Amino acid sequence: MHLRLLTLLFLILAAPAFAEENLDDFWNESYRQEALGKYQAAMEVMNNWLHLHPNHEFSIMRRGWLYYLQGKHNESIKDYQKALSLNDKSLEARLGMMLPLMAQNKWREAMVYGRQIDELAPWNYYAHVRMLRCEEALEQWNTLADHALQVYLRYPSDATIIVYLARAYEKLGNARGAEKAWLDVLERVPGHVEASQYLASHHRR
Amino acid sequence: MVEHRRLHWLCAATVLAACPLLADAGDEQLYFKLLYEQNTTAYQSSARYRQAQGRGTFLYLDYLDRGGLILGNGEKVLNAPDDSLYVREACSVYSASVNLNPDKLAGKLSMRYDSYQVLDRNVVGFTYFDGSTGQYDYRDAIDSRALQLSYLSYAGDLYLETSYAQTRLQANRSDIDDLALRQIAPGIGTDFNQNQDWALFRAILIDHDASNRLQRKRHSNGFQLKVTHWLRAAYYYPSNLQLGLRTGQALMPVDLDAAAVYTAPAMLTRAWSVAAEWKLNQYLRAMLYAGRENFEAAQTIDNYTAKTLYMNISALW
Repeated sequence: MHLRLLTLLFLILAAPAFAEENLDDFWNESYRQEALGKYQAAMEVMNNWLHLHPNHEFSIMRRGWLYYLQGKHNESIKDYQKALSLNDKSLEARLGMMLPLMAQNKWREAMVYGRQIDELAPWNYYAHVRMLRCEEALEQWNTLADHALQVYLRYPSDATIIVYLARAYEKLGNARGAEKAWLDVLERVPGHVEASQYLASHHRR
Repeated sequence: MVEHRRLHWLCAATVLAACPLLADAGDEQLYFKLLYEQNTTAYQSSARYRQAQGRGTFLYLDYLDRGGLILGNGEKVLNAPDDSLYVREACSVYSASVNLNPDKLAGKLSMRYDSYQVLDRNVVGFTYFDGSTGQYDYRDAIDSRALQLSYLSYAGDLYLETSYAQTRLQANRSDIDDLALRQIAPGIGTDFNQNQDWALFRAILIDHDASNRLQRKRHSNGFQLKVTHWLRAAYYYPSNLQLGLRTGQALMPVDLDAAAVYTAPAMLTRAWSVAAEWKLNQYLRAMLYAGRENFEAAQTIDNYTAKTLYMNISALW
């Protein structure tokens, strides 16, 4: 009788430790598969978990990300939408949503989510960089130049933003502005291919 | 015809009036383009036509790249060399498209349905034996419907399309047969020169019922090549230049690029055109076009050339 009670007590006390160990294994396995580039396998692990916890926000977003990495953009969009329906304040779900939309060239729809992020958290770096890419794809060169300049003022050491500024100036025929911007890019990323090519072709290095 | 035109202007005005409300309500999810076009055509070697003047208004609506609508309305007046004939043409265009992005394809699938309704009022002058003059006044109705399926890769390096169009020309004159045409137009496009150029090749295969409007022909096959070259986007440069070439024969082809149908019952043979488009600013576009088209009239021996100057200006918001 004592032995049974002791066994039961041990199981009750040890159960959380087992569960934590299993949970660690579970997440480890999913991240390991992702690191190996086996996105489908990483997602299958997630699916087992989501089968038991269908409204687990983080898992849904992670699966959306894994779908995106596999090029299953529609599935990815569905998961990010579900994550947003669970937490409509989520900036990350909106940032995630922008990726598959941009991969499908749905630039305007991606911009909608970018603007929503900007309303909730002004000057979010990733949202603005992705919106710059959308404006470039939509060939809105004036908007791109103005927008890139504003983002540059907030993130003055970032080369990516200046690349968009330089491209916009180039397209608008602003040679002086483009040259200055490409030189700024080279200060931050020496040997930057696009900057070097532009400056070499314009004989002003 | 006047009522017909008024109805379309009323529709266009209603949609335009609703645009700002829709745009606000949709969190910038709806995009609009309003295009006004005007053209003038001079005919050479034609016994039937001397010149034509046309104009039109198109409203384009796009919902987040998922689909769109086109509503268009145009009118054109053609005059004969001796003013014995004029044709007043009223045209309406309705188009709806849906875009799909299946994960199995690295590109966008688009389905588009177009409907064109054209009313031609033909007024023909003639002289009686006694020297007095009179007029025939009869109407042609042209009804054309087209379905297009197209694919554009996300990288923009491959475009495939095929379209099917049915056109019916009905004349309310007992001495002229109606005419029914079926058009299949497969096309392929690609970019080159590091995305600076775009080329589209299209075959236009048309067959039609026997009709006394035509001689013995039952088929006409034409080919079309369009090349677009993009330039720097500064407002004083054109943003792109376009070259268009046609060869072969095409009887009353439906041109989905221009959202128009050729209404003269004549074979379009060789043609060329050049065009330049300007992005004046983020909200304004303008286009100039000059083209020359050769026609062989199907019913009578009237081979003629049409030289067209065309311009449009469009506002986007």
